[in-house]
Amino acid sequence: MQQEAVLHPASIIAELKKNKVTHVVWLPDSETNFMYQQLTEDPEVDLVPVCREGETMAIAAGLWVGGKRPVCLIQNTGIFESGDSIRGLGLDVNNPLVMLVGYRGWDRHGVARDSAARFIEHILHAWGITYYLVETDDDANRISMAMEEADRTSKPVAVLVGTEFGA
Amino acid sequence: MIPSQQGMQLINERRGEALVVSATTALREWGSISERRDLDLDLSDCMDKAPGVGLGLAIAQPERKVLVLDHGSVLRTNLGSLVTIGNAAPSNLVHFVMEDEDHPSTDGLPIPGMDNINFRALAQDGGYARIYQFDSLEDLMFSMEEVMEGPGPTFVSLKVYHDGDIPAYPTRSMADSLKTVRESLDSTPY
Amino acid sequence: MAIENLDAVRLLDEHRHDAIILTTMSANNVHHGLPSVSKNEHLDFPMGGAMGKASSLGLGLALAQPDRKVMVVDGDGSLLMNLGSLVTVGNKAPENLYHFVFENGVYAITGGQPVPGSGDTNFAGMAREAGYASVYEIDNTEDLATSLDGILEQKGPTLICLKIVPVIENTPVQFRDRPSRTTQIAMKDLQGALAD
Ligand SMILES: Cc1ncc(C[n+]2csc(CCOP(=O)(O)OP(=O)(O)O)c2C)c(N)n1
Ligand SMILES: [Mg+2]
Repeated sequence: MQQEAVLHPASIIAELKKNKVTHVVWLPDSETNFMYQQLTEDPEVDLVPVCREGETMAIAAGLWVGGKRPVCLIQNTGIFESGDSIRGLGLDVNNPLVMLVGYRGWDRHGVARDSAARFIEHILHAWGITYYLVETDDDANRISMAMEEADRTSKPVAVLVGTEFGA
Repeated sequence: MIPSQQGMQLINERRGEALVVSATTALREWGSISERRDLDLDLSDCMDKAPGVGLGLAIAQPERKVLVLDHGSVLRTNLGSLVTIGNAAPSNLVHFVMEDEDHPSTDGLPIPGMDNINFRALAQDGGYARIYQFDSLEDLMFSMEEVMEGPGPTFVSLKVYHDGDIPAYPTRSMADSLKTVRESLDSTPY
Repeated sequence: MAIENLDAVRLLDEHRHDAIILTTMSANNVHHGLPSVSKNEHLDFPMGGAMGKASSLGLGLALAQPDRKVMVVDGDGSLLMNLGSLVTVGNKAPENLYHFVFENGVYAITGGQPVPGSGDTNFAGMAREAGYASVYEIDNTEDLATSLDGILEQKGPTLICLKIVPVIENTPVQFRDRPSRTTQIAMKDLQGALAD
């Protein structure tokens, strides 16, 4: 079974560059694996791998204070793992952090069976974190919208990458 | 054992233009000792994340030293950060960890078995470039230059005790400290 | 040198006697993990979800069942996510806990990205410092086959770091084969087996 490619790494990476993103702080997942190769090869964005998602917001806070423009790239499961860091090092310190989130279990055709998918939007609502959904190349510019909103509001904003696979 | 505040005083004297991230008991003492509060990040919340914040800063400001003043009581809940830092290998990062004999973070109560973690060995296995441990002020004084100048990431365990009261947390908020340091670094928003 | 994933789980199953084996990630794969070879399914705990928590879950099981051996089969990326559990286990020191780590250097299940510190992190050293009674590093099938009985005879907690050839998954998650039993059903089965 092969799915038609609908979201390509190049469109996401182009968005990151357009917004002058310097660092991607990340823990891999299947949903965003398709970007891995190109991200590691790209000289303009630096990858910072972590052991546990809760570290990403802390490292991003340090990068931001130090004058860089980081984003986090983690799975929705990682958002659950990171609760305290999102609160303390995101919301409470006005960190304009864009979190790119692999939407495990995303299913646009009905009720998601995976609890990682069922809970994620509720959790973001509870925190008052707005989010944008990116499914295809056409949606990629929502990353720019998220960046703009994060800057304007000085708050974390999420981008849910709920995609079928791109080549 | 090193009298904790005197250890901090020494770090204060030798920090130069270094950025300092401190948390928990280390922050309480550092806040009243540091003479460069414009370059200090106060982790009065999410206290186990000082290594992460320090790592981000060190990557963002490669020309500057970054000191993390951490405490064993919180490092033990974030041990993976030792591997994350070992892997990222920032040469400008010095990670001090206060190992405290009086357990101020738990009101003087030791947590059975949790107070003799060999952080040095874990940092070594996690990939830090240099590892030190000091249990006397003289030794720390003597080696401070080497600690600060050599290539990192450097891990420094300080065996400390407290003589006298530990000061309260600084009154400025964590958010304020981040804002202040951003401004000091003149980090124009992208 | 390294051990094939399938050979490793087969050997663990062969030498387990009546031990509980708790598997996660590649060790839990339906094609090349324990579920594909186990002859003692009622004593298997195939853990789905909660990445990194196999060691903590195993600790709970080991404390609940002190007369039975518990073998945890962890991933290296997973252990990194919960590295503090080495200290938690070392501190509580259950003699019946055997903590295997499939060190394949990567996050195999999500496409094979290297784990932080891949190849440089000394898991056995860390476990020793954290208070494990003994630690082992094994990088070939023959040594694993000959040493397993001896390792399991000694008192734990023991960490056994196995160098494993990664089996990298590139199939999109929604097209992967599902296990025959859900985690909930497997847990019920195990509860039943332990109550007998
Ligand atoms: C909290 C959390 N973050 C990320 C993921 C995505 N994820 C699923 S499997 C996996 C890799 C597991 O790596 P490892 O433990 O080394 O096992 P291996 O695949 O190599 O057998 C990741 C990152 C997850 N499930 N949960
Ligand atoms: Mg692995």
